[in-house]
Amino acid sequence: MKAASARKVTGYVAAWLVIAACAVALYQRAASVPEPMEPDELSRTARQLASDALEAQRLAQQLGTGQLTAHFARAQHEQISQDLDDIRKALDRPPPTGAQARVERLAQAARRLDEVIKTVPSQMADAEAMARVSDDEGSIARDIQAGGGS
Amino acid sequence: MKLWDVFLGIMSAIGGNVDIGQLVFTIQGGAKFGYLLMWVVVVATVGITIYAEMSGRVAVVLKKPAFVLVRERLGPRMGLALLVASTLVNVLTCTAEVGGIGVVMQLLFGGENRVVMVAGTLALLCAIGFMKFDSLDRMFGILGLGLVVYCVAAVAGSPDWSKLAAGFVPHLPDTTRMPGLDVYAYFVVALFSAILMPYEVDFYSSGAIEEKWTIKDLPSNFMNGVVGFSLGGILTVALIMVGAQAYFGSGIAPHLLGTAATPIAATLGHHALVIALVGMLFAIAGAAAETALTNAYTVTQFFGRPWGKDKKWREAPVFHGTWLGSIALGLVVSLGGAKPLDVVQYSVIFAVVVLPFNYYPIVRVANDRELMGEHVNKPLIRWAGWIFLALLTAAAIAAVPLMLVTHNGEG
Repeated sequence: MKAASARKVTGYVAAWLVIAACAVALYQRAASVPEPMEPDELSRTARQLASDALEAQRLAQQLGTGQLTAHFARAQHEQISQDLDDIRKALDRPPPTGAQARVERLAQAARRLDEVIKTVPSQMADAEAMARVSDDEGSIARDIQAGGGS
Repeated sequence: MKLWDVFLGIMSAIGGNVDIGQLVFTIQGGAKFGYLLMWVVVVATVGITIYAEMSGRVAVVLKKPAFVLVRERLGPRMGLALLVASTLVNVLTCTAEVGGIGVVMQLLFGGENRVVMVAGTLALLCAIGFMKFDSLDRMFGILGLGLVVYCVAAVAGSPDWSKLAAGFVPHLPDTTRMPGLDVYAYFVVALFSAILMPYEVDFYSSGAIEEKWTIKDLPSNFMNGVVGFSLGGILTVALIMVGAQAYFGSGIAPHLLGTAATPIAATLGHHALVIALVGMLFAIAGAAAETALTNAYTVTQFFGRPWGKDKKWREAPVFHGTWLGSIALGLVVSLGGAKPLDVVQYSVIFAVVVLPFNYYPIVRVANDRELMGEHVNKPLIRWAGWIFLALLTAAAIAAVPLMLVTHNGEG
């Protein structure tokens, strides 16, 4: 009998804890004020952007040597482009204190990379064009890693 | 059971062994830590082999699948809590797999992502709806064998064999070249969970009853479990090798499904890329079918409703409605924009929290001489079962804090 009532009390307590946690989470969301991005988050975003640039560079090299199929190349570039959208949205948040210039450089690098990536589908059968695209993407990756990035 | 059936069972166990969670965490793990996570594959593969064999043996001897044991051993309330948690984890996993189907189909055939996702999911629904259980299980498993190109690419990629061998002995990462200990611990837990996903054992034990295994089939159960999962483990090792050879120290964090396939193209050319993508498609689709069917098995077994893949719709409406609903929900969430690789990170981490509760009843019953008679666990297996349960419990406690601290392994 005691065990049954203890289980019942435990059940009630657990249910109320879950309800309270949900209420707190909802309140925090409703009452959120603008907050700057954490420096760690900015570093992660920069690493992600550099990763996208390096991956795009590698894809361009592979396209130049005929290693990728047309649909694969198109779809993978589209996915990277969508990832860049997410990165740009993350960079739209208020920057960490003193990191305004770095955030702007990253946002600019994300835009440049997206522009380069969007030229790939129309010229992916051209090895020379792919070599140029690869150089551009490599240069963007180096910029991010050197200044805007890490 | 004929020799040919055993062979097909083993082949489909290899191809059906890998799902989207394993693809994600193996390639990412190799990219971040090189060969350092190899030992986790060995430990987790031994674990899944032991639990799968045990659950199959219990199902054959007692004619009771895993979730009937859960209700009997944990009681109705605790059992219900586990059912809800398992179902949510399976829906999350199914969502990731359905999203993955869309991505891989787009990589293979082009087209708009949502259109090909819907087309692929409809094909999956037709396959589950119209194919017999054993044909369905084998079709996905055997076509998933396309992933074997990862084994070829791993060897062709000139691995550093001494470093590879060293990876099978647990040691800490060199944090000057690799992420920190917290990220390492996160990947250990995530890879462990991705290999031991609870749906695999629930599906396996229900499958034993679906395929009407008898005591005579216990040697085949042993072969399927030990050989199939061990060879599947070799495939998982190959995935980490490919991730390490292609991405370790490159600055690329593989966070897209296609990124897992590009090293195949670089090493073996575009025909191998197509084979790898076909393998991925069927492995992922097979896992989507398994997670959806597992939800149907667990819900109907728990509530004592009629169940069985080969039963007609009017004979088992809850069963058929549940797998259909699981896939439909996964499709709706994926169409809403959920990214499969983000979803799978959560499903794998939440799965590890559920795992000890899922495996505990199986170990208890398989150790019970009164119930199992001569088929009770041998002393070595009994100890191994408890040791793995302790490991799973430790992983379950650590999983969510590690996920929060490391921002899903991003550091």
